[in-house]
Amino acid sequence: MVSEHGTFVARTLRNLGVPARELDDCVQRVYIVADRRLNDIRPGCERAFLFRSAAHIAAHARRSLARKREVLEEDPHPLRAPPFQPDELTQRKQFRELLDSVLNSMSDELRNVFILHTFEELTMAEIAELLELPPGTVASRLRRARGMFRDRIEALKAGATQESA
Amino acid sequence: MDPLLHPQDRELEAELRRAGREVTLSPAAQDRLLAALGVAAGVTVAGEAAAAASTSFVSKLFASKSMLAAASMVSVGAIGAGVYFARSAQPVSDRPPVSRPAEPVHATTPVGAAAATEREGTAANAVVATEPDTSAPADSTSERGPTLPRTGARKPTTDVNAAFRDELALVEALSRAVKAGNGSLALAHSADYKRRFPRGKLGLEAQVLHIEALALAGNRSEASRLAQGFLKRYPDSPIAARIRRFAH
Repeated sequence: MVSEHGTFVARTLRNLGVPARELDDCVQRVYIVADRRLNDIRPGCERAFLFRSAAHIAAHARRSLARKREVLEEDPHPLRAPPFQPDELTQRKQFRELLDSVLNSMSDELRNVFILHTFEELTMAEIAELLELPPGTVASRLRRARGMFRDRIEALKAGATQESA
Repeated sequence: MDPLLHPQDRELEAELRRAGREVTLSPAAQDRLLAALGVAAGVTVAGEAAAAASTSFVSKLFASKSMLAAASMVSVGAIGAGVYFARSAQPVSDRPPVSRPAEPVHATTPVGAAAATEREGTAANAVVATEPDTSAPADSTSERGPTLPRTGARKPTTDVNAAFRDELALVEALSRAVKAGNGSLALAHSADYKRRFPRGKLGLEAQVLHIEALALAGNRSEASRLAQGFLKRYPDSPIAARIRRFAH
């Protein structure tokens, strides 16, 4: 399970909002949960189990992060978008921050479907099976998520244009 | 693949897609993960693995004091299907002493969890200490007069390393026998281990493997009794997960 799904788990956690510095810890947590519940995992459903565990652990990590920010920074807008400056877009870190910002604006249900489709390249049928959702629900969520993604990028671009003007 | 953004933002979209996909689990992270699971699945030994096991979350989970004291060169675990070794090519005795301290517990770690690992370490020592030491006669010191403090009578490092390698080899053999489903051979190795290493550094792992060996050999009642005792002493131990199924 580690060699086959390790990168999937790491990527899922990262795209579900786990900061890079906590990624290793969270990957380990996911696998320790899997290890403890090995007898409950149906053969062929390992990835679905790992995804659900990752989603749960990522949510916990995000809550912890938000609490820390409240205490340490008292920032009322913890998910504030990074500055959108096209001339600096060659920097990978900025792209990652931008992506995080957009993904963080989505609800969990939209985000799950979106990252599985966009970054894991699963079909809607595969997502429906993995998340145990009706295909119609997956299609609807994906459509909303894609719309939200586009709108958010447009809003950030517009904000960046206003700032630079 | 359906485009996400408008055609003029195609380059941006490609970069964002790449940002979302470029996360991978590095070989080092995989090693750390396997080391962590090794506490459930086997034994992880030596430099790199010790470093792996002492990092962040793993150290929070498994950093019993006694284990980390030994884990300046060794980190150990037992669960699952096999033994995982991360041996360095350099001989143990030639390696410079590892001075990596245990990583401090993060602020997010519950105090109870840290206390639990500390309790576990103490308990682990206690268990080992209750076993009779057959390696030295009880009256061996009386003929020599006053004994030196233990720290002054330490064995040379090479002897310690050689002894540990022997102990490790025996636990490895025990683990292999369990993995192969050979209960009688596993029990023979387990008995050999108890006789030769009554205060072994891998005592907890040997206990877990012994319980599995008993179950494999058909002695489920004894396996259950020992498993219940183990779980009572170390309810939160990650190693305990392996034998929970025997504790009926």
